Amino acid sequence: MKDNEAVEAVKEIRVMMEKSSRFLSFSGTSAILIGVYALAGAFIVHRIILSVEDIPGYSVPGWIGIVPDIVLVALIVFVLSLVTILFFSARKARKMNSSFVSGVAYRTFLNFFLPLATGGVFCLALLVRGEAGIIAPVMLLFYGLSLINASKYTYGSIFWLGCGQLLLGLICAFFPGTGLLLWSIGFGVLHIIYGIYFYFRVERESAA
Amino acid sequence: MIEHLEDINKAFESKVRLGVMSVLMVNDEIDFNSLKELLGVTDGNLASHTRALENLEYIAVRKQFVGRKPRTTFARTEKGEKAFREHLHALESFLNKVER
Repeated sequence: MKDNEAVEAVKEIRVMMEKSSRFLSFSGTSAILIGVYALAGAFIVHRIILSVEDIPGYSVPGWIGIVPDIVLVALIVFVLSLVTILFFSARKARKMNSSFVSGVAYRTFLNFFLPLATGGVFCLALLVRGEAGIIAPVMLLFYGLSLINASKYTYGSIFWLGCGQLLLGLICAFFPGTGLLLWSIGFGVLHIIYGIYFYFRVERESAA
Repeated sequence: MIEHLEDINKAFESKVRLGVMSVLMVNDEIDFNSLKELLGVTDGNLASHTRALENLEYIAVRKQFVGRKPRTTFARTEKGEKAFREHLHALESFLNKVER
């Protein structure tokens, strides 16, 4: 055996182990776009909240009237994000000649969406019980945990994105009134930073 | 260098067989089609290599029916795991010698 054969063998082992155990059809562009949607959504919600305070002498709490609007904006941002990530992942899978629907992809999505859906339903319960003020930190916390959980099956760096969301969520939980601001930083700014990092450090390097 | 060369397992000289074992080291089991896609080989090619590994008792093959479709899944055996680890160690020490 020549030494380059041994190097080739080790390389092949590494590639096959990684490819078969991690979901690698993730694109940095989708993270940037999701961040932009979140910022746009937060801006619209900010405008909606401002519009409420202009009505004086309102007997019921002002935020009740704007709940449907805010929920609608949140749903639009969520659906757009989901469509974007699925579209870009499928496109990258096609480029890498690997299958988008695989056992690993299934495991990644299950481990991501299980905590996330729990958080979503929990937020709904908070909304129904009138605890709207604590929804933003709960969203950040559950999203952070979902990312950390999914990071075992995809790029490890997603772990750190999850930690960032957790930190923001915990800060947000202690300081009322910071909800929308920290939500925008977590879902908007952090996604954009991570997407840019991912694009330059991971995608560019693996393409080269 | 000779003593390390002895441990280099001939069964893993083929890239496909090496790939099959690598995948099975990190996945408890995998079905034929997923494996075929991962390795980028044809049906016949993969079948002959998995048969060779099965004959060596390095992998266990399970055939079952899902509806009317036959489904073949593979898993590593203890013997296969041991052989693969030894092969890795041999590769490692071989490369260490070369570097020095």
